[in-house]
Amino acid sequence: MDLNQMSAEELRALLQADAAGEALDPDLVWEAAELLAQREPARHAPSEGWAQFQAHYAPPKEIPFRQIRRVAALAAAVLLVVGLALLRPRPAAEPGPLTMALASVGLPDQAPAVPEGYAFRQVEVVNTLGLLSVSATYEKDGAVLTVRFFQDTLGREVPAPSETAERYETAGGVCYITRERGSLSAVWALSGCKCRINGELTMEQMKAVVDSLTA
Amino acid sequence: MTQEQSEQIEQCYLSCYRPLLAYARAALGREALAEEAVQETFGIVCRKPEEFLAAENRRAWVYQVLKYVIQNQRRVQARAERFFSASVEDTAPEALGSYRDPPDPDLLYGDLAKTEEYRLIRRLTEEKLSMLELSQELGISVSACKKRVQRAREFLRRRLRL
Repeated sequence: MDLNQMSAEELRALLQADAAGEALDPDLVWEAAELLAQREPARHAPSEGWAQFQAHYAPPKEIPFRQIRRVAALAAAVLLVVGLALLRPRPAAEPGPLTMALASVGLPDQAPAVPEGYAFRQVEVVNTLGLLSVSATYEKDGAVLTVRFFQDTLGREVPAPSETAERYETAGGVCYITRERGSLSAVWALSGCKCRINGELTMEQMKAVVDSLTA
Repeated sequence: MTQEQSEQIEQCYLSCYRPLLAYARAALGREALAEEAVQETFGIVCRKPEEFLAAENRRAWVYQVLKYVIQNQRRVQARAERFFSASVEDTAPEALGSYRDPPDPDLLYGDLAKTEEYRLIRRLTEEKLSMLELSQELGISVSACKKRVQRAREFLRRRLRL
């Protein structure tokens, strides 16, 4: 069949027959379509058709399920790693200046959990008439928190510093907390030493610091 | 769809557009409907890029898809035409007037003919508008137009128990 000899009408009829379900040779049909396209040009150029397709018919860009799955798996892995990191027992912190100072004078090493925002400023070792003391200073916005350890080989319980002092039972013994001109002072006995804390803290904050040293 | 897949589909579109359009125009008559059939065909290609790229003969694959799209368009068109002619056939001759008067579906369908859904389907069926033309007339996107037409068909089907 010589398609070139066929009229546009005949070519159209051939294509119509194929579209209607007649089993025609696909290559022949394609050739007929190409010929008809040459003879009856379309109103739009292919590039215009493509632009129209992009504007009105192209499916919206969807995130493929595989990609969602990959992101979800990645997020789960990150959560797992973070969770494990949080659950894992933390390695002992490197000894800070206070710990090293306490160790240098033979006092039990201690590391108070100071309230949030307090930054370490200095540590001082003082020898007063043969009794050694170690004090560490922390600061937050001008407010000072001092933690002092006094050498005390007697290791007896400290007496109440005043009648107004609040008695606070800790895991390591009795602690007395006194309010003095807007600041609090806590004192108690540890094994081999006494401890005093001074600072502009709330009662809860002070008890938390005490707890961190007596637990 | 990756950038590479998109580029290959575009290449195929540009090289096959004219013969595909000529084929669709021969089958569907109106240029706008033929254009829409080609666009719908490539919409399917974009939804199945792996299948398209894996085809031994991509041109033949696209041509087959176009055939299905055309068959589907014809099926929908025929169903809609049946909808408008069914009541005419079922109506008593005296209700239709003399043989010189063409039966008017708007009169036969009464209140239903006043509905938006009826008018929408009638424009597609009798005036053979493409979805793009209808969507431009309504000032909405093609996909929104398709949904509206689908809902209109459902509405009429329920009302007429077709």
